[in-house]
Amino acid sequence: MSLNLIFMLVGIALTILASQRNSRRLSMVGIGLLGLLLLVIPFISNNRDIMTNVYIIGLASVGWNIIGGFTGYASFGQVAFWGLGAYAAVVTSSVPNAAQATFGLPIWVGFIMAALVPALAALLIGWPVLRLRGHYFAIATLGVAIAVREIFKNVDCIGDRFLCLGGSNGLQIQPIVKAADREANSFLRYFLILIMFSGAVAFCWYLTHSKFGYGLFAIRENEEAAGVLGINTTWFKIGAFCLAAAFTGLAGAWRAMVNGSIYPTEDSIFDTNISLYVIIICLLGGVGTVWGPFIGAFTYSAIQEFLGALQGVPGFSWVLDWTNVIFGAIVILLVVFLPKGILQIVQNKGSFTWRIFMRNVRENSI
Amino acid sequence: MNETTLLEVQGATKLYGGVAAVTDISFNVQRGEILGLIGPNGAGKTTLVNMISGTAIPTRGVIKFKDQVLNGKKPHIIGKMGIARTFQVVKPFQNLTVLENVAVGAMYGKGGARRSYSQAFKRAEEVLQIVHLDQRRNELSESLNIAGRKRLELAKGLAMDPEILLLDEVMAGLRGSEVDEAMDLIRTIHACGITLLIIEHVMKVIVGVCQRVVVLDYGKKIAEGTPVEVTSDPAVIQAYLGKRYAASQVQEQNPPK
Repeated sequence: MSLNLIFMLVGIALTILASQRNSRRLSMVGIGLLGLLLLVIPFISNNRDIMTNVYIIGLASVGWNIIGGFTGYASFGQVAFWGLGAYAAVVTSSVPNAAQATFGLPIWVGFIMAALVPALAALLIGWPVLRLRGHYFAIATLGVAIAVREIFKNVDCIGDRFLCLGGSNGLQIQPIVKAADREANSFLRYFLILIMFSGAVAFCWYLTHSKFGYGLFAIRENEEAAGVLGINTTWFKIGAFCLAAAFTGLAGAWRAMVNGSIYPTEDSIFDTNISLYVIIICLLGGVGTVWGPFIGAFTYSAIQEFLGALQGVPGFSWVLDWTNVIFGAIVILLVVFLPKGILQIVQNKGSFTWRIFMRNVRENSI
Repeated sequence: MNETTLLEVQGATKLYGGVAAVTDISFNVQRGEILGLIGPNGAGKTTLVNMISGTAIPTRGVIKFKDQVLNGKKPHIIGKMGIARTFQVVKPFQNLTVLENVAVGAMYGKGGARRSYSQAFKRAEEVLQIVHLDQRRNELSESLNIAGRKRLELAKGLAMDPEILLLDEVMAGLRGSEVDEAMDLIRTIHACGITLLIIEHVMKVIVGVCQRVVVLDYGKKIAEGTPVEVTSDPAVIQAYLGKRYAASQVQEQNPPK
C-alpha cells in the first residue's frame, strides 16, 4: 500500500473529526492533527506531487461548492474558469521569447490575474446564464465551457502581438528557476498550494457565518422567498458565481504551473472531466458543507490511489481497464445511499439498508 | 393622498394572457390599521398581494407606498422599503433551522442594513419569542407542522421590521384552537405598530381583528366598509353564497306585506 494512500485515509479520518459540530474540543483536536499531518507529508512522502494534485482539485471543488453547494446552481462548466485561470497566469507570468509574446510579470501578479480574469468572465457569463435554473443552467454552463475552449483553440494573437494565446499550439511556461531548483520548487509548491486550499476552505467557513452566505443559502432553498425578504438575488448569484470562478481559476493556474505547458484541448487544460471531478468531489464530501471539498478531495484521490495500487497486485491487472467503471459504480452507490456525502456514514452508523435508500429517494425527489 | 395613507392601490389590473385576474381595483391602507381582504377562491386576492410585493407586475394601474410608486420595482427593493409578506403556500428554507430562517429576514429586511450578522440572530431570537417558536429554534424548518410553518412565515416577515405586513391566508389549514392563537398573535403584531393587510377565508378572523374590509369577486372590488357593513351587503352575500340565498336574505329582512 502506498504511503500517500495512508496519508489520504488518515486525512479523511482527521477531517471528519475536525468537522464535528457537537464538540468544539474534538473539532479543534481534529484541525490540529490534520494541520500537523499536512505539514509533515512533504518530508516523508515518496511522491509529494500526488498530494499537491489533491489540493489543486480540492481548491477547484471549493469553487464549485460556492455556486453549486451554497447557492444551489449546479455548474457543469467549471473547466471554463479552470482554463481561463491557467491562461491568465501563464500569459501574465511566463517569460516572453521568440515563440510566444507573454508578459513575464512576477508570479504573484499571475495568480492575481488567475483569480480576476475568471471572476470577470463569470460576471459577464453569469448575467444571462444565472437567469436559468436547474437543468437549463447546467446545460448552459456546459455550453459555455465548450465555447470557451473553442475560442482559445482559434484565437492566436489579439492586436499586434499584444496578447498572444498561442491558438491550438498552446503556451509553454518559461520557468525563471533553474532545473537544479526543482526539488526545492516542489516543496515550495506543496506548501503554497496547501495554504491556498486551506485559505479557500477557511473563506468558506467565514461565508457560512456571514450575511452574504445566508443570502446564498436562502436563494438555494427558495429564490422567490429570498427576494421578498430583501435579498438582491441577481447580484448575490453573480457574486457567488464570480467567487466560484476565482477559486477554480486559481486551481487551474496551479495545474498549468505543475504541467509546464497548456493546450486548449480536451486532454490538457480544457479537460471536460474537471467539471465532473469537482462535482463528484463535493458529492463525496458533502455538497454545501465547509469541509465537503476537503473530505471529498481526499476521498476521491484515495479511491484513485487504491485502484491504482490494486492494478499492481497479481490477479488484479484487469482493474486497469475497469477503473472508470468501478469509479462510476462508487459514485452511483454514493448518490443513492449517501447523498449528503461520506459524513453520512457516521450519521447512519454505517448501515446501508433498503430503508435508507428509499428514504433518500423520497427526500430527494421533487 | 393624506398623510396617514400608507399604501395606495389605484386602478390595479393584472392580465395573464387575455384573462384578467384583477380588474381596476382601488383602495387605501391607512397607517396603523388592520385591513381585511376577502373574496371567494379565484377572486384575485393573492394576485393583488403579488403585485404589491413585486413578484407580479401590474398590467395597468399604480401602487404607491408612502407616495413612492412601486410599479416595476424588484421584490427585494420593496422588501427593504418596509413591505413584508407571507406566502399562502408556505416557502420555508427547509434545510435551515427555524432560527436561521428568521435570521435571514432580520439580515435583509428594512432593518437589515444596520444589523450585523450576530445582531440579526439576536433579533431572530426576539421574534421567535413573539411567535412562540423559540422552543424549536434549532430544529430544521421542515420538521414543523403546518401551524408551525405559518408561524415561521409570520416570523420571517416580522424580523424584517416592516411598516406593513401582508398576510396571505395564514389561517388556512389551522384547527380551531390554533386559529385563536394566531388571532392573538395578529393583535400582538399590530400592537407593535405594524400595519396589517390580511387576506383570509375564515370570517371569524376578519370580524374579530379587522377594522375595515375590502371584498373582491372575479377580480373586481364589490364592497368596502366595516366587517359588519360588508357581511350584510347583498352583493357580498351573493358572491359567497349565491343569488338565491341572497334573494332569500333580502326577503327575510323585508317580509312581503
